[in-house]
Amino acid sequence: METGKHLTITNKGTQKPPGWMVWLWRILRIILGTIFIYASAEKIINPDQFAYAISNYKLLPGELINFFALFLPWMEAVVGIFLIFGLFEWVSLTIFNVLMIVFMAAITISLARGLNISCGCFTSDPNAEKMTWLTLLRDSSILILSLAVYPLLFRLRRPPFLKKQ
Amino acid sequence: MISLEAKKWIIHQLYGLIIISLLSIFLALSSNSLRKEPVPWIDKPHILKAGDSFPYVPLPTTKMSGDLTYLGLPQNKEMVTIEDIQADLLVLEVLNAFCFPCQTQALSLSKVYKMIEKNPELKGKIKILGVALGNTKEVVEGFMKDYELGFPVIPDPTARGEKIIGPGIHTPFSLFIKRDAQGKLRFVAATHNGAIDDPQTVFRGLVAILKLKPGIANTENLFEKVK
Repeated sequence: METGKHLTITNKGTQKPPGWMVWLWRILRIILGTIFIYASAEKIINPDQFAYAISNYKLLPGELINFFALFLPWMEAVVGIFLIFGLFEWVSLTIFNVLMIVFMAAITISLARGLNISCGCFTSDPNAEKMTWLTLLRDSSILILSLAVYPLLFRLRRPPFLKKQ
Repeated sequence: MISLEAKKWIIHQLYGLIIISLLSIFLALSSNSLRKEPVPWIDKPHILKAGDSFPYVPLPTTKMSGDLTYLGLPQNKEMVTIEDIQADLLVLEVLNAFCFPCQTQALSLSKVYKMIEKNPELKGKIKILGVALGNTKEVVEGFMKDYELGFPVIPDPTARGEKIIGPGIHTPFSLFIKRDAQGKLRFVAATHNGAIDDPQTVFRGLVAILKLKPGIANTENLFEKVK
């Protein structure tokens, strides 16, 4: 068996990770990157609409809304591209997770406050379907996926100071 | 002690963070400047003016005073927005029960309300909603009784409405809200600051605003007295 062969190699101490792991990481980071690029596309085209969607959350002071409406979609797009091409994998994945947590916190606060607003997650249109707890469920499944790839990253791109002496 | 390798790794990650942030800001700057109408990076809060879109504000129906069926609001919904109001033109009147010009305005609006309700062509198309900045529910109910206001008024004891409509507004302040291109009742077609003592003038102005094409704002003064 192929996996067995790889395992014997690693056991000998060559540090070479098994091929399936490398491929799993490649596939997962392309999936995560595509999610972010897909989510950013419409917001990049209509930052004014996205600004309106952000203002509906009533979380940011008025002066900062436009800045985030312009900056966040491009941040998503750049992180998505970096993940797909495997550039700065640690930073890209961590920004991905931080953004996901921030978005989910905003959704949770708004749902708890009883705001009947659209999410502005995958579309910038503030008149789109209103968000529900299902929106949060969808986001948490993405977050679980993106958190679950950390062990892979630890195995494949182990920071040098964590290496066994 | 941090080893040299670890330092290198951390610096590499910091480079990544800086590159991602700068690249995003650069792309956002350049894409925004390529737009026909660039979005201002910093938008200072301002008093709502003709042409603006009324912000999304949830309003608790339980705290409103007066006849809510008049507004055509959906039943058994605790939180509504002005978009839920069934009208082609909504007059949002910001006032305070103790300000003298507001009392003048209330007198003429109460007559305008009766004129609209008697007019079969305008009944149901033009609706009035008051917002009483800094007034409690008791004060608002007394005020409505004194001035025979047929339309509902929202008591706003903490003056939250001032933050939404514009910091530093002077009452009475009227917002004339029409439907936007998407058919949502949130397009500020005109505004007016100050009292108008002649109900006929108000009525004529309202009809003129109602006749405006959708999405067209009026910045001229429609409420000048006809001599």
